[in-house]
Amino acid sequence: MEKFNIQEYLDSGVIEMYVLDQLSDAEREAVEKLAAQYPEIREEIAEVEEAMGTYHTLEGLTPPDHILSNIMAATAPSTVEEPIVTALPKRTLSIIWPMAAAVVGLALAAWMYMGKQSAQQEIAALKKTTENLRANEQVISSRLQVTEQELNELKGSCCAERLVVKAGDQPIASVYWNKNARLAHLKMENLAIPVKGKQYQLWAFVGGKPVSIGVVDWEALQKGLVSFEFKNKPEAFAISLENFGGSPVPTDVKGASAAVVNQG
Amino acid sequence: MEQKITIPDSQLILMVKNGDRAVIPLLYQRYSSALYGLIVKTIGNQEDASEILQDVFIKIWQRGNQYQEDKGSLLGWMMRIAKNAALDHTRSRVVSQRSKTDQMDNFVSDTKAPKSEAQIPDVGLRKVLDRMDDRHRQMIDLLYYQNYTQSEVEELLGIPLGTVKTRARAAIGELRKILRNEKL
Repeated sequence: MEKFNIQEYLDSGVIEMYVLDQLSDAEREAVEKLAAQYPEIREEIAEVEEAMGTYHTLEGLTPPDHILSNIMAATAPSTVEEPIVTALPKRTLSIIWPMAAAVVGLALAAWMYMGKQSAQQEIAALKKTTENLRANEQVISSRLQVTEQELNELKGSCCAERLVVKAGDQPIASVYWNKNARLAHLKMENLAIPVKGKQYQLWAFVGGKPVSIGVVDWEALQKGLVSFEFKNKPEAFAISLENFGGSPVPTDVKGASAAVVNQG
Repeated sequence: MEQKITIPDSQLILMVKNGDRAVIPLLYQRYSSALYGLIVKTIGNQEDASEILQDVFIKIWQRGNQYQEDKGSLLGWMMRIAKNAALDHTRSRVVSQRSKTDQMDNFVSDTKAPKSEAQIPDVGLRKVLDRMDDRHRQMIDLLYYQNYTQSEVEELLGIPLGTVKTRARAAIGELRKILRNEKL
């Protein structure tokens, strides 16, 4: 069998036709199969796509300002399954630049102590670290933007009362109860990782009796708020640790909140 | 000069796949102009393009876990979603061959018409357009934005099919070369 010649393939113009969307479904599939197999083909496609991406911007067309807000609102989590991103403390941002400054300071110290060559290597590595910090800063800024929007949603939906679930004196979680939307937003404060086969369960007290609100998706809770619909009027909230899938009655209560001030 | 730091696509992809909503502003910041330009030039007007762009980003968010890195770039995947959405929009209207031609005429006159201040591209971008061979720009516009098939272009321009293919490839080659030279 004749060996596949990548260069010949790249020179055939098929990649350009692929990016220009001029191939049949079968031809497109064949290109994608080869791209999965040969990094050179994948890179060539990416470069042509990058060029086309720039070509689209050449007329200087920019979307109206409000579009991003609309997209954020349309993708806002509204059900239990949708994960909400981590609410990062604002101070995270403020420590990035001092960290970057410290890195640069270290670079200077390194230059004084080492030979020029090794210092240059060190500086290059530290420069890379600084770049990574700046890239992380962009991610964090974006997270803050999303978090602020979520907080506004909470505020905007009005009257989300915060109840701290405590184990003794220690806060382990917060429940933001929105009586109008009848939503309980659970936020982790200091919950231990559930052991294998176990899962946290959120409860409301109704008429003095515990009623299950739902089991907690641990992964989603680590990322931020987890929301539960609850149609009844809760008097307080509690969290228990149960076998995976939950229990009809709480067996291992980890903490409970004070009473809901306004049950609505 | 401040160096531009870009978050690697691999990190954005991870965020998309993990359902991290923080990726939306990042993707928007990086790619909205390209996708918006693609949509406007495909449908021929800016009025509906904003709404389509909005839907495109929602689709990108919803379908994030369907993206397969080994099949192509993140930008390519997003452009395909945008292109399909723009074409669906165009198809949803009654599109006769006449209106297709009208659309092209509108597009050509629109791009040649004086632009409002907000739409004037920066000098670097303008240079690329000015430097490109008109026939190459026309080929990309017909094949990509107007969704003509190569045979339709052959008929429209009265040139052999082989020339259509060669010219399309040359157009992309010229674009890449200019972008490289302009460091865009």
